[in-house]
Amino acid sequence: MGSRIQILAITASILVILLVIFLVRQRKLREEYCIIWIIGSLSLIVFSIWRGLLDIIGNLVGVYYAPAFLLLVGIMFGALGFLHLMVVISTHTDQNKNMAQEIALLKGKLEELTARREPSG
Amino acid sequence: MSSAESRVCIIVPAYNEEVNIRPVIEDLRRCHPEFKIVVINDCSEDGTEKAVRELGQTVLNLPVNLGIGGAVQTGLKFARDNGYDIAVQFDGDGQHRAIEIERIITPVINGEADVVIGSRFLSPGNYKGSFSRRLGISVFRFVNSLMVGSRILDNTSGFRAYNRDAISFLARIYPQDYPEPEAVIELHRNRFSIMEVPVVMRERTGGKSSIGVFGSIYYMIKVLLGIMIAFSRKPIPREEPEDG
Repeated sequence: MGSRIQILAITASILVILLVIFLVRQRKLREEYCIIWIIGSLSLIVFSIWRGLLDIIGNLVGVYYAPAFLLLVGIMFGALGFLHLMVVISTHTDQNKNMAQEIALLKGKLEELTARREPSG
Repeated sequence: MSSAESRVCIIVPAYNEEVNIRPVIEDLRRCHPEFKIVVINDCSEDGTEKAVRELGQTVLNLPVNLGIGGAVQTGLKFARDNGYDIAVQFDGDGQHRAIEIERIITPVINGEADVVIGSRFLSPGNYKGSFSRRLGISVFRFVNSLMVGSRILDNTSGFRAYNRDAISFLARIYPQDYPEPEAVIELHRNRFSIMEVPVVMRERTGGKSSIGVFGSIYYMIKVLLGIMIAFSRKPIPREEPEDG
């Protein structure tokens, strides 16, 4: 039953969930990103409580050592998350660029208009 | 349409060019007082902006450093928004010569091409670059010529002229970091006609080239990848021409 590692895993997962909820409440993390963390943590809790599940899935996909499968899924999850972040950054870079260009153009126009209104100064 | 009737905007991207920008603008004004000059100050930390203002020219200050691609595109957006017929891209570091502008805008004015590239390689043997630079230029020449289906000799030249259609296209889509070779492909894929005319460029008069030794390897890989991806993209539907 309750081995130390189980308790550790469950505690860590709950802490992650709490941290994520805290960050969303502080408006430091958007809801759309918190969902994925909560799902990830909840599935870790499920695996920690129901230890047989991992073996069942391991058998299903034909992995001899079931925890290795969990590790694989975890790494893939991390890599996909990383890719997703790069997509988000790329979008932001593009938006940032467009806004910077817009600002430069607007400032130029503003200067021109001001100069036209006050020809002396 | 003649040169006198066309409204021409000269786009000068500049990043920390307080030394070079003054002679560049003076050169442009001497040769073409009738053209609009717009300097895109890419968040310079020196007196670039002041130098341009002292010469009474328009300067657009980017609030953050966007790199050459973002700066040139700002100028293209300016040209589009203000209804210029032709935009000329002209480096702020003094390597292009204003006297050659006539040569690169003439085919655009005559409707012979949408885009004209001022090429260092059509006139024999005036270009001396470092080995890595010449290697890069040869690789782009090979790859781009293969993809465009005709020889484009000087893919890294930043001395270019665009007509209205090309301006509005590039105002929407312009590659960012090392944009010149990739822009050739984007333009070709979207059925713009590209022409090269021979020009002579100066050796750099001050400052350093934007690409260092280690940068050139990254530059090559990045641009080659960009070219391949640009080639694989579907053409983008053109905007309806606006009248008035």
